[in-house]
Amino acid sequence: MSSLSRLHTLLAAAALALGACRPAAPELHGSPLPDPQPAPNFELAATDGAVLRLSDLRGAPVLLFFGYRACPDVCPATLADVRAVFEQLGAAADAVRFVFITVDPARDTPEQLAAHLDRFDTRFIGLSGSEQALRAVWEDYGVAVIPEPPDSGGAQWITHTARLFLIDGQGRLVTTYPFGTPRQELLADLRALTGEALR
Amino acid sequence: MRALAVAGALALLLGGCGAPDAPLRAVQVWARPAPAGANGAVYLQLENRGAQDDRLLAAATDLAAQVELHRTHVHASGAASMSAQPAIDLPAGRTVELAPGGLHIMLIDLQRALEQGTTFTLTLRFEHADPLVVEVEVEQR
Repeated sequence: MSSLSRLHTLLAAAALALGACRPAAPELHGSPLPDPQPAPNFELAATDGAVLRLSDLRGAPVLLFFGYRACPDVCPATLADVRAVFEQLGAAADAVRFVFITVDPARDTPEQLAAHLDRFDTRFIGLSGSEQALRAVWEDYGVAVIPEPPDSGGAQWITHTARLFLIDGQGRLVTTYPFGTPRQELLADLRALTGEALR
Repeated sequence: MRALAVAGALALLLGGCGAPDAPLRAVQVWARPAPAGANGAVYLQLENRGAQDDRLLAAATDLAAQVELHRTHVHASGAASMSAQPAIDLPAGRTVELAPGGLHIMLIDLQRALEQGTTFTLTLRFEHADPLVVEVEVEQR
């Protein structure tokens, strides 16, 4: 063994020893935030009629998505992804919250959202509210919401940010995922966060 | 309408997704479950095994008030937008995938629910090839 490779071995051992002293933050997928900050709080009407604050969910990892009921492609695809991930999480999914905030308050009442989300997983939480209240939340999360002019057949689509936001049990925004992130990556991260919450 | 149904039945007898020597073949045709009044999307792979480029011009089913060809664009910002497509190119010898987050056949204002485990027929019209009647499987994926 050369002295250089011996040095490398020593350094690696030292790094391991140091690393063992503090719990390593889980390495998350998507676009992890280097210095996670508290996720902006919000207070909106939930699908069960109650008012829900993000801070009420403290202690549980929260996956957050912004979409709308009439959205035929990326929203159901994302809902199906989260549904599949919840299925694979099994009992641990009960420790996770999935929150869907509408970008279409004119057409999505909490009741309609509830029926829509229940088709995927009855544990999903839908939130709606006044356009003013929602706009503040969209802005806090940097979510673009651009209603498009009606298409030739009169259908009304809304261009919107299609990322998933992951908030840890301490209420910090830890990572975001672009549309189409593999389910395995979401699953691994939620396993890491729920495992951490149980420790 | 009856002619369409007969054509559909005939196509099903022939194998559902195009006669063996037809240049265009549709495989893995599916849609997610959705309630009546909602919008739906059909996804599939279209194989052009012929020597001639073709184009998907339209799709039709009486299940939806309106059927359009659409493309979702997911921008670098993370925003997703959709635009109607006048046609979808099907180059000779290639397979074009209509998949979530990309090209899809949009079913606007479903006249009845798409129930898990059921199927429905959809007619695809092309610039050159004969219309293709395909069976769409409704399933959550």
